Amino acid sequence: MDEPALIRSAQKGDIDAFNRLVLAYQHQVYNLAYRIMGEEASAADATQEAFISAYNHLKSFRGGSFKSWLLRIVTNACYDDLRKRKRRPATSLEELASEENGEGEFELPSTADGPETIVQRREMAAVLQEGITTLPDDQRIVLVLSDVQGMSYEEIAEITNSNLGTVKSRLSRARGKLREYLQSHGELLPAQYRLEGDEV
Amino acid sequence: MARQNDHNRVEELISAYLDKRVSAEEKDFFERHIASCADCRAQLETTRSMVAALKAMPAVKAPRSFVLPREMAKVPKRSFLSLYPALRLATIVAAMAFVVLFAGDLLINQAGGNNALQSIPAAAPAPVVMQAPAAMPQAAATQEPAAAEAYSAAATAPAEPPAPAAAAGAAAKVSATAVMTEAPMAALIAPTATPETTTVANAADQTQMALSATPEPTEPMLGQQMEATEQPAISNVVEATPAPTIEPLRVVEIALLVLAVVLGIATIIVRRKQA
Repeated sequence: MDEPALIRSAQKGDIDAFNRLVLAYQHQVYNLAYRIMGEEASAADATQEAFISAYNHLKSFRGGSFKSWLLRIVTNACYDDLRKRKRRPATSLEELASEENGEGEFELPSTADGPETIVQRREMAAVLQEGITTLPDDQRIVLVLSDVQGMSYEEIAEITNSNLGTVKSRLSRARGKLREYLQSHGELLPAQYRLEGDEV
Repeated sequence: MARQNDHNRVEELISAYLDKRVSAEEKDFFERHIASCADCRAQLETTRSMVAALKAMPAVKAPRSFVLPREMAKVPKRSFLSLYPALRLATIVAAMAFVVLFAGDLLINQAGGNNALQSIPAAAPAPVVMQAPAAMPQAAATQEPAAAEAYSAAATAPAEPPAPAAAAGAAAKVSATAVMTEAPMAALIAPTATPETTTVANAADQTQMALSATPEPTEPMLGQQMEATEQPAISNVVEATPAPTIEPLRVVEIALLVLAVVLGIATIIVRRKQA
């Protein structure tokens, strides 16, 4: 069954059809949540909340990109959780951070990379993730959507319910701050990243 | 100073420049500045590397599946199905209210009958009480003659032992006072009464009148009775007047019964849909 047919069935209450959509998108949704939240438990909660919310509000989906619609829902779920967390920050931030540096991150290794590169990338990813979590919520979300998820300004504007100018300025500020974070932590970006992307 | 402003402007443009979201004029300015400013060029390259590193961040595997449990399928219908406990409770409450009210009504009626018997030592009044309702079904169809009959019966009562006369006399007393105050209105209400309700009401009237019987001298009452028989037009008022005081109870009973039945049906329907 193709996606529009699955969506139509799901809209009529067919939970099996909806679950096929869940299976198709859960890794993308979870990845976005993980990069915004910075740790596994909150990301899993946000992901589950997002799918429940998506199922309950499926009737409000009126065509367009289902993926964008899902990502918007999970983004909002993350945003809500971040705000809640800010209201009661005393709890587990430190404990979560220590967890996350341990075995928290399950990587999907690309077979093309050698073991050294994988280790390097994992270390780099851990530092970047730390840096991301220091960003203000609005900037963090835009940066993850753009640079981690590879979305266009237009898609981000749609997901965050803002305009292109806002996306552009938030992304600019987020990148500036993250760069400063990396520099202040003496993080030298590996040579391979400097060699990449010469084609601007 | 102009130089510092240029740095700031370049810094602001780095992100958009990397994404090719700059205008031709901005691009021109940016590239001219970069060509001559090593610091800004370094910032551009660091940002470019950082963005590349972000894109290269490994995908993480979801720790579990987020497939929704089958029971979730009921969620959109929850609002409807959640009515079931409320409906069931409402049915029970309505049914119980009906039973209590109906039983109470019956008990009071029966107790009223017993009281009437107790207040009158002789066995004689019983037939009077029993006969009157029996005559009433006819009265429902044609109220005036039946009423007249009832009063003629009451009028003949003095010939019998004094006890029934007291009961009938009491009835007449009630009617007499009612005539004084409510006659015109009651006359209007009487024709609207349905056969069933009038019959029931009359039966109740009879017992209530018996209840209200007080051992008063019979003679003045007899005089009133004579008055009643002399005015047949007014006599139909006699049974009609007490009716409005009883009918609300009947209406409530019937409404409760209907409510209980409707709620019961709704409960069964909801339950079937739920299954």
